[in-house]
Amino acid sequence: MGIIHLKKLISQKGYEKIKKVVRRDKIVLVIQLFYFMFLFLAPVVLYFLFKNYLPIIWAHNIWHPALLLGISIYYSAVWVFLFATFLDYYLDTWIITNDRLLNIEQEGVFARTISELDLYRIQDATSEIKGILPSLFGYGNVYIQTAGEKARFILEQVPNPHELRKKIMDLAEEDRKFHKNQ
Amino acid sequence: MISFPLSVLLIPYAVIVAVILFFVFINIKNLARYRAEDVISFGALLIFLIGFAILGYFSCQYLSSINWTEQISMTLPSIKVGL
Repeated sequence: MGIIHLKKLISQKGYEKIKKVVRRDKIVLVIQLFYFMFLFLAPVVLYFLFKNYLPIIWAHNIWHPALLLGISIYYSAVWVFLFATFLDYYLDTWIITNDRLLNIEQEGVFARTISELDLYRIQDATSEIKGILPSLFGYGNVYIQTAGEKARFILEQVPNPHELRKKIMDLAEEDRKFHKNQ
Repeated sequence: MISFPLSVLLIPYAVIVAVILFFVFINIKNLARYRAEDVISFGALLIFLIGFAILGYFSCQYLSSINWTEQISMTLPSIKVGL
């Protein structure tokens, strides 16, 4: 399978230009990294809690190798999941052009969804900042409703959602004018 | 009473490591496929691989000190069948 570049995904129309590339807010990734920090530190905490029992375990002919194998698997798994979490964050992208809105979403390890909608079809957009952390760091969701579609297009946990909604609506207005003139 | 070499423990370990390596492969494939030219993705991949190599190195260091040929004996609970 060949490599798919973002530019190739959107350079199908000659007049199309990228206006904005949006990802989830960096703080979302930082919060997730904190969870992984806890997972990394959990065995260290357990070590101090059960320090007195360690000589017994170390002397045991089965528990000692079993514990080492377990620790090896645990840290390998946590490291791989940490990388997968980064990928999930990094490969989720919304590309806003002067013609379309593309949603490129990595869903877990095995699924990737690419969807798009024409800006001139946007009827309304709603932005929300809801919750303690989103209010603190200024990230939230933008919901986009298009004509004739029940499902909404959602830009999740994006930075400055109110500004983004305004920008999308401005671009949609411009695109509508362009399509009217054609 | 049954006895088996300690290396039997390495069988489930090898299976789990194989699954983890499969996930590593899929993740790298996803990254390479969609972000091959990106500096951040290259950096992340480099950090990930260095971390994984360090984990592998320490796993080998600690596990190599164990005598895997040692025989382990286990006593099975006796089952008495009677009418």
